[in-house]
Amino acid sequence: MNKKKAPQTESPAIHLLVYCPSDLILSGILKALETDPDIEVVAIEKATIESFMDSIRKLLPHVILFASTESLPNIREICKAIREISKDQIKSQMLLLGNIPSHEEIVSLINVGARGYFDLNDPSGQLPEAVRVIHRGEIWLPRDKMSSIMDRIISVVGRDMKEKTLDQLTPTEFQVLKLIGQGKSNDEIADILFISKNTVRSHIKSIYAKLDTHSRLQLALYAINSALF
Amino acid sequence: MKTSAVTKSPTQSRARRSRVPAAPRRREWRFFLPLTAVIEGLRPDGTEFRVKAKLDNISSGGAYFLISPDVTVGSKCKLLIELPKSATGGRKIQLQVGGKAIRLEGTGAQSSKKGVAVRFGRDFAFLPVGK
Repeated sequence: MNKKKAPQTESPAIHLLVYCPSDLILSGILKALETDPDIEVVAIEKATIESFMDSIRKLLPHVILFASTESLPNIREICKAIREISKDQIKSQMLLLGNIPSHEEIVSLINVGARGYFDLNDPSGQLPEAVRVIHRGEIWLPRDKMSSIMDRIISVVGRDMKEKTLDQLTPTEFQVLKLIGQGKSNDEIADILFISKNTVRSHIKSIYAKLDTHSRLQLALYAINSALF
Repeated sequence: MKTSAVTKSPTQSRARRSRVPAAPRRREWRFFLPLTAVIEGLRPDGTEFRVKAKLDNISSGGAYFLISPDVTVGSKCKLLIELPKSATGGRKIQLQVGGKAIRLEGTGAQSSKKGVAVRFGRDFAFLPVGK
């Protein structure tokens, strides 16, 4: 566990916990932060996720810098776990450092609790500013990715609005959708709902338009999702 | 601060080479549904595998999950996805869909599992279970 003594400043230093199994990346992180008087690295975790989680509980850092090559589902679970840990105590803000190519996945990680993403290709001199921004409760995203991430957010919001149109399906359309989710064919749906096959087709066409899809499998997934959540 | 010592990632180099803006990769909305699935497929040595997994996300275009067998990019596999009873009116129904692994992700040194992204083929079927 490395420690760096905080210099005497008027405002209290930002306590930073670093998780980074890679020595090479870790040395870059520490170099980028060493001259900053506002940031105190209280601990560095390189071993297991379990010991990292213990350190969060024990040290309650202001900011967690998580640099890892874990798979995205694992990172997502880690973000959720950290959000749970810091819910009742000091709120630790999490900054992810990595090389995530998909903007969609960055947005999904922020959605589950991360407060920012710092790309390995970003200038290292910006890292202290990213930590400060996260500490203030704001979100940090790489500038060059911001516009495409905003596009993605806008598209997600748009999709969410479209998801809400599930409520705007007519009762019969909703029944048709539910039956599609059960794997029923058009003939079976017509029999169950006492309507003609042409009417079933017409309902499905309308559902496709309202949910902005053209895939029957996607309709089934909408139905399954709505049954679960 | 000097950053000249920082090497470019392969992703960045590829991005610089490519002049054509990338098309949006996905059209369909992905659902983060933790559905249980049985994954069947072939290892690179030709032996079959059949493992249980929990899906991370799914759309009509494909799915993402973690499994241990040595799947390689291009491996064909079949997913037998257990549908929740709340969605099927209490009946046990599986969604059967075939696909091809298009991306693999490591999950760190502590885990032998790989993240596998599968692109679905066109055919799928809903099968009642236990009949």
